[in-house]
Amino acid sequence: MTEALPSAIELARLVEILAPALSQGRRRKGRLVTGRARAFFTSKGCTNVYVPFPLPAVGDKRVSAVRVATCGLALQSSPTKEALAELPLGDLRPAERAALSLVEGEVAMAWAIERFAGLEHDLRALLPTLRPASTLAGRLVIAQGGFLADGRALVVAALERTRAGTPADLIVPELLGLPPLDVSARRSLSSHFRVLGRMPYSVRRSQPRPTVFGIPVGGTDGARSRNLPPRERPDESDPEPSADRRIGIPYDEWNRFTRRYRRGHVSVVERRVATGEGKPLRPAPEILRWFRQSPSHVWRSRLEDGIELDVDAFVDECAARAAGNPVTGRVYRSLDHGDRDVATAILLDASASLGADGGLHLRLQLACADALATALAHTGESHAVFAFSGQGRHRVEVSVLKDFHEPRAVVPGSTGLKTAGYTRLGAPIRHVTKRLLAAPAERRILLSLGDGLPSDEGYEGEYAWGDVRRAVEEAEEAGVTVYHIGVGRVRVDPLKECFGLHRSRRVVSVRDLPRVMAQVHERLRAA
Amino acid sequence: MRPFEPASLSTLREGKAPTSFYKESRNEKAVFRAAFAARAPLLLTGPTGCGKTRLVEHMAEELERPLFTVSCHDDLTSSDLVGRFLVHGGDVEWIDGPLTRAVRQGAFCYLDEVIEARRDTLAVLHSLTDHRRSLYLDRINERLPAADGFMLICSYNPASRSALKEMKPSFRQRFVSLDLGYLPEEDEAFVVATEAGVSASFAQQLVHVATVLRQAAHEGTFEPPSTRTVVTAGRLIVEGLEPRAAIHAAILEPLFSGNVVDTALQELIAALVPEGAGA
Repeated sequence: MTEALPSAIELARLVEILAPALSQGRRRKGRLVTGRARAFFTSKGCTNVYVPFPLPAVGDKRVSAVRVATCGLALQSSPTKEALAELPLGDLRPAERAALSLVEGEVAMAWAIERFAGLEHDLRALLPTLRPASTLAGRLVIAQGGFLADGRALVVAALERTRAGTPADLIVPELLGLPPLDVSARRSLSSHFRVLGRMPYSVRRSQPRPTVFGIPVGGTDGARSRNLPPRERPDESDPEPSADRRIGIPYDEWNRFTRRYRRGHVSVVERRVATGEGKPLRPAPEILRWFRQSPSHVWRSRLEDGIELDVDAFVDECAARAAGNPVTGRVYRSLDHGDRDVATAILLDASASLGADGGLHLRLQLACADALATALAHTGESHAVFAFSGQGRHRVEVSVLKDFHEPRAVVPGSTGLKTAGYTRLGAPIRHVTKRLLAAPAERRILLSLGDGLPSDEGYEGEYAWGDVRRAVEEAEEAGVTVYHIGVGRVRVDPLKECFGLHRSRRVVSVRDLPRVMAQVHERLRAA
Repeated sequence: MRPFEPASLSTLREGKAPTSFYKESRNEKAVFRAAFAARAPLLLTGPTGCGKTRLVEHMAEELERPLFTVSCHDDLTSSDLVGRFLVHGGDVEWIDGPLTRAVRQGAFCYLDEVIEARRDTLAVLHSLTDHRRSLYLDRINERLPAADGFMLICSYNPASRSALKEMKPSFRQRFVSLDLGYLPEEDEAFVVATEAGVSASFAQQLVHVATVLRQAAHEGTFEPPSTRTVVTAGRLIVEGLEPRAAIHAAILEPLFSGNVVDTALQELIAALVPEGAGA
C-alpha cells in the first residue's frame, strides 16, 4: 500500500475521530505528541490517548502509515490499560517496565484481534515477535470484548518474564507504546531547576504550576486581573509538556533575525469546547443590530418555473402568441438567494491580558463573535469561531468554539471561556489558516481580534512581530484574507508592523468594537 | 464472537413482509393515535433515517388515511405547498398543491425536514396548526376549512447541518412533539434482519458497525449512519455483494465529505470488517 504520509493536522483529526470510536467512548480525546520522547500512550485517567508524530517507522512497507496509527490506537483502546492504570506502578525497574509492556501488549493484541478482525493481519505484520495471548497462566482473560482479570495478573506475568528472559527478549516494539503510568510523574533534577529558575509567570508564587493562571510578565498596565483557576480535572488533563515530549500539532516559527524557520518550534493543541453546558443566550440587541444582515434575496423573472406568475412575461407571451411569434413558456418569477461562497473564521485572543477590567474585553469580544456568528448563521454562511491562549511554545491552545461544519448555530459566549496564559499569535494564525483552507469555499476570511500584543516566553518585541507578519503573509499567499482588529489602548502599537496598514485597525474604546467589526466584515465579504 | 463469519443466506425472506412494518422504541404509536384523535399537529424529531417517515407511513396505513409527503428543501416556497397558477394555452388555471389537496380530502400531509423550507413558507401553516384548522389561499382568496381526518405531520432533525436556521420555539409549540432516536442495538438488528433478510447474527454485526460509526460521528461532525443505510447494506449483501463492498457502498460512501474524515471512516471499516469476509 503506498500513499502519501498524512500531515500533522490530518493525523491529529484522524486520531481525534478514531480514538473514541475504537474504544467505545472510553478514550474521549486523541492527540498527537511530538519530540524525541514521543510514543503511543494513554493518560493516567485513561480518557486521553496520544499518538506520536511522525509515526514510528515500520519494517513492513505494505502497511500504510494511517494503518500504523489505527493499530496503535486499537492497542491503546484495550481495557488492560484501565486495569494497569489503577495500580501504583511507579517503582518498576526499566526491565520490569519493558516486560510489563510486552505482557500487556500481547493481551491487548488479543483483545484488538478479537474486536477488530480486520486488523489481525496488519497487527501480526507490525508485531511479528509478539504472540497475542487471550490467556494468562492458563486463565482466560480476554473474552466478549473485555479484560476479565485484575491488572495484578499482568504484573505477576511481567515479573515472571523478567526473571526468565534475557535483556534481548525485553525489547519493546514502538507500536506498543508506554504503559499507562504517569509519564510525567518523575521530574528530573534539571527540570526542577528550570522551573524554579525562570521568570515568574504569576504574582502568586504559591501555585504549584505557575504557568496556568499567569498574567503577562510586563503586567497588565495597572488593570486588575481576576483570573480564577479553571476547574481541575487531573484525570483528563494532558501530561505536562516537556522539550522532548510535546502534545499537539507542530508548527514552524519564523526567526526574522536569522531569516529562517525554526522547524516544529511550536505545538498547537486543538481543544473542542463543550457547548452544551452554557445556556444558549441570544446576543444583546444593541450589539446584534450592527450585524443584522438580511439574506440577500433577489427576484428573478422569466423563468420556466417559479413561485409566481410573472405577469409581464405572461402578457408578452400572449402578445407573441397572438402575433404568431414563437413562445418560450418562461412566464414565472422566483425569489432566489444571492450566492456568496465565503468562509469566515473568527480568532479570539483569550490570553490573560484580555482578562483586564474583570474580563470586560473578552466578554465584549465574545459578544461580538456571538452577534457575527448569529448573523452568519442567519444567512447560512460557513463560519467558525476559535479562541487561543498558551503556556509557552510547548503548548499553544486553540479552542474550537464553533467549527465550520458544526451542525447548529453555536453562540461562542455560552461556552464559558476564561482568559488565561499568553499570546503566541503566529501559531494560532497558521493553525486557523490550515483549518480555513480545509473548509470548502470560494473565498476565505480570517478575522482576528485581540489586543494585538504578542507576548510569550521567548516571544516578544521584533521577533514576535516578525513571526506574526510572516504567518499573515503565508495566509495571504494561500488565499486567505486576514484582518486584525486591535482592542484597547496600547503604548506601542505593533499592528501595522504585524498585519500591514490595510489589514488591521485599532479600536480604542471597546464600545466601538461591534460597529467596527460589523463594518470590517461586511467590507471583506463584499470585496 | 468473530465478526463477519459467512452469513447463512438461507434465511432469505420468504414471501413479502408486511409493507409497513414498524418497530416501536417507546410509545410513539399511542402518541400518534392520540394526536390524530385530538386533531393536533405532530412534530417528529430525530436523526436521519431513524424511522420518522416509516412511522408516518405505518400510521397512515393503520388509520386508513391517504398520505401526501413533501420533502422540504432550501427553495421550497409556500406556492409549492399551497398551489399555483399554471398556464394553459392562453389561459391560467389554479392547481392545488399537496397541502391544499390534503386539507380538502382529509388526508395526512407529511412535511419531511420542515426546517429546510424557506422561512416564509412555514407561515402558511400557522392557521392550520391552531384552533382555526383552516388554510387561507391568498391567490384565489379562499378560506379552506380542513376536512375531517386531516393531519399535519412535520419532521425535523435537530442535529442536521442546516439546522443553522433553528426552529422558532413559537412554531414548535404549535405541535405535539415526539422525539425518536435510533433503536437499541438488539431492536435495530431485528429491524435489519427483517427488512434486509439477513441472518440475525449477521444483522447484529452490521448494526455494530453502524454503532461504532455513530460513536465516531460525534467527533467527526458528520451525520451518523442511519438504520436505513444499514438495511440497504444488508440488502446488497443478500444480492450477493461482498460485505465490505456493500458496507462501503451503502453506509460509508454517503458519509464521505472529501477530507481526512473519510480516511478515518475507511480505517474503522477496515478494522471491523476483514477483507473477503462474509458471503
